[in-house]
Amino acid sequence: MSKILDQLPYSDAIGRPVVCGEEVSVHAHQIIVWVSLSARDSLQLAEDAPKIPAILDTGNTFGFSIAEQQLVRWCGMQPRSLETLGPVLINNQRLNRHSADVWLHPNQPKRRDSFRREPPFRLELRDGIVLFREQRSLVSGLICGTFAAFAAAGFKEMRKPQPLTVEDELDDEQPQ
Amino acid sequence: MTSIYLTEEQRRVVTAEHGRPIGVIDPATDQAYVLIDEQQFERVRNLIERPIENSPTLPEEQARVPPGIRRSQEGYWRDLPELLTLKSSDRRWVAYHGFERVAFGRTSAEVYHECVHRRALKKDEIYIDRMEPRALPPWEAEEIEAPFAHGEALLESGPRSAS
Repeated sequence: MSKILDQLPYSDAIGRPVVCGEEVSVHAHQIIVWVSLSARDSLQLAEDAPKIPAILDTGNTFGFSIAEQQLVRWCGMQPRSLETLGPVLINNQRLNRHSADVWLHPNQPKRRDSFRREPPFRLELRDGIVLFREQRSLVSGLICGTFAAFAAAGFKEMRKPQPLTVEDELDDEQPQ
Repeated sequence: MTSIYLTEEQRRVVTAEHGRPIGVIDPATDQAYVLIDEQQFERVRNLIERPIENSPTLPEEQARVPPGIRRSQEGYWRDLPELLTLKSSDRRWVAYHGFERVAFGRTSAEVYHECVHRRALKKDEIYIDRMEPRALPPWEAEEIEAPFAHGEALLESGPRSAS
């Protein structure tokens, strides 16, 4: 059994991780994981794929969502390059699901922003990702990954209370 | 603005709805429209016509499900009851090209690779999904309740005060 998230810490203070050279603020108690995005036909993640922080929203039942602006600015991807798969209603807001893969970067034990030298784990999201339109600001918005996505990926164990540990039941069979 | 004239049958439906919005579907493309009266339209006209500056937002026609993917989704949905009986450790994902089942695999990446790189199928004509139950067809909108409203600034650039 291989660990993906290992004793991932979260803080009771505001945090300021750096994304693509840009400092962002993370609210206290938000669980942050680092992910990368790719087109769905990528067999493996490009080494230079940007890592972006994702809020692990434990109450959200959809897999992953990101603002179009952030997809462009942080991931260097264009919305039109991701095929539309269908609609979804999130809090009565009609949005589109798009074909893409999300890769989860294993953290060093007890460290949130340092990574183990292991390949990222592909979260195989059957419904793709949601792109939402954040028009108030070019920089603010919501990224969220969810436990629902982890469960769909077949993760065996998720212990939420700090420190967070997520283990993969597929062991060496993890998809790449 | 171009105008089209209602048939007698359509006029009766409009009258019966007493000003409520009416769904109109083009059977050739499945494109849905909403028919509202002119007074209602004028109230929302600014919202519809307002340009969005510096936005990468997809134009509406690009945000629609490509017809090829939609047909393949219908193939998947038609066969899903059977697919559930075929599921195994080597058959967790399935790909459809129209109504034809073209690949099984352990991972979506494996199936995608088979379709796009080995069979040279077009990405906008295939649909890949897990061989697991779905509550709704893939083209219908599932309702999700999220604790945080989308668009709420939870992750912000720049300095932020604790207040």
